[in-house]
Amino acid sequence: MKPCLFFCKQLLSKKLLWAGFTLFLLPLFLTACADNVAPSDVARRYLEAVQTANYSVAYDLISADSQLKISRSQFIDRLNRARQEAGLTKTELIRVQEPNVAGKRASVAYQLEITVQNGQKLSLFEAMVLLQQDAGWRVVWPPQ
Amino acid sequence: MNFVGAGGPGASRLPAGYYRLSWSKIGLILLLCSLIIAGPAAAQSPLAGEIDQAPLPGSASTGDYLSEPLRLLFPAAPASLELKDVKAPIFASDTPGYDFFSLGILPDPSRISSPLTKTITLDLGGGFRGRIFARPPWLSPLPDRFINPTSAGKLQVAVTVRQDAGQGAGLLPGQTNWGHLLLSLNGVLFDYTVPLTVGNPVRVGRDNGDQVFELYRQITAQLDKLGDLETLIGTTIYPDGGQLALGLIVDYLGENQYNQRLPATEFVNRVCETLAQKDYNNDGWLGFKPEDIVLGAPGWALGQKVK
Repeated sequence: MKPCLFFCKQLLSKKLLWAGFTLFLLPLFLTACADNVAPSDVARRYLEAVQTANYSVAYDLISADSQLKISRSQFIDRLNRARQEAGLTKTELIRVQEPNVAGKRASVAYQLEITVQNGQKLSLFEAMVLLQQDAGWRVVWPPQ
Repeated sequence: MNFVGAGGPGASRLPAGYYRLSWSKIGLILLLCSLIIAGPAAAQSPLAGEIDQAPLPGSASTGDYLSEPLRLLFPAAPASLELKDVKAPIFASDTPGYDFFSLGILPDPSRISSPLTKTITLDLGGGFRGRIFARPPWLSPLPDRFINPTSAGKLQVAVTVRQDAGQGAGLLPGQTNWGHLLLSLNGVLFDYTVPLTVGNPVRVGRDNGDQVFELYRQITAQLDKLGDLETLIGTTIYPDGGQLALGLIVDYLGENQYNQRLPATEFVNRVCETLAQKDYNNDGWLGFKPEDIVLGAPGWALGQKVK
């Protein structure tokens, strides 16, 4: 009986250990991984999210200060409204340039093509500023 | 502290002074530690969860706009910010201190001079006195100061886009121009972002990206060489230097390199000087010169004489 009880205790403690790792250490590990994403990749992810009107994903990629300024629901609502009012039917990301980095700030230039309701296509050449934060590179929104 | 795992063959033969720590206790300690470490880290991550409500800078009124004709209920009479005779304003509690509304798209940059006006309507109860500050200069709110001491009512502010080289007001083609309004209402500040997208010139379309980014690369290389690369990312004067540089490049190429009378090397130097606010070529002038404006450079981008 004693060896059986001992075995159960062992099994229980190992399970507890794994549960602890899975529940708490794994998210910590994944959070730490976010730091390694390059500014141009973050910019690309942000622009692709905006391109597909997936504004909730875009919101995750704006800086902590920007998130304090506007709530997720407001962000989604305002960008949706702006898209509808402008009559945008399509946004295409043409290219994203390599970043220029100075300390904890970076600038990423990119080219977009937007199509409006009458079918007219407009080429836009823009740059966004990103900040390196605890969670990784994040987009400064709104642009100044 | 000395400790060994329990349950092993040597567990019952520990020398005196050693603490017996079981795997379950280690697991518990790890759990507690990870809770302490992972808790704040997860909370800081923007992926952790939704922020449902932005903090409000005090209670305030609705910030919305209507695309109806301009109706100014309150004259644009000069008013001081003295609040002595003004009743306390009645603001709804759900008004955000920050709002965003788009001025839309201006497909043809050559038609910027046509009137472009949108209206912000604020429903207010009680007295209010306020001012609106706008930047950059192309953004012009009217009225920019107002007073309504006692009664309830609506305040409508017409936001107009203007081009005035003398006022340093101008739009950049082929990009979104970001405007900002700061409304001070009885001492409470409301922040509005008002972007306006301007289309590309005929000469600079989808297939001209290589030309645009080659000039951008030259500007980047020159600033880097001179140790001023950070000015391309942002300064207090130009918070998004890269955006300004790209807009000037599109304007330059759209105007056929200012009628082919301003060589690319000169243009690159003008943009670098504008961003860094330094006279790199020691000609006594920062950025674009008056003669460049005559050639076709935007008047509002005129630089200044070195003091």
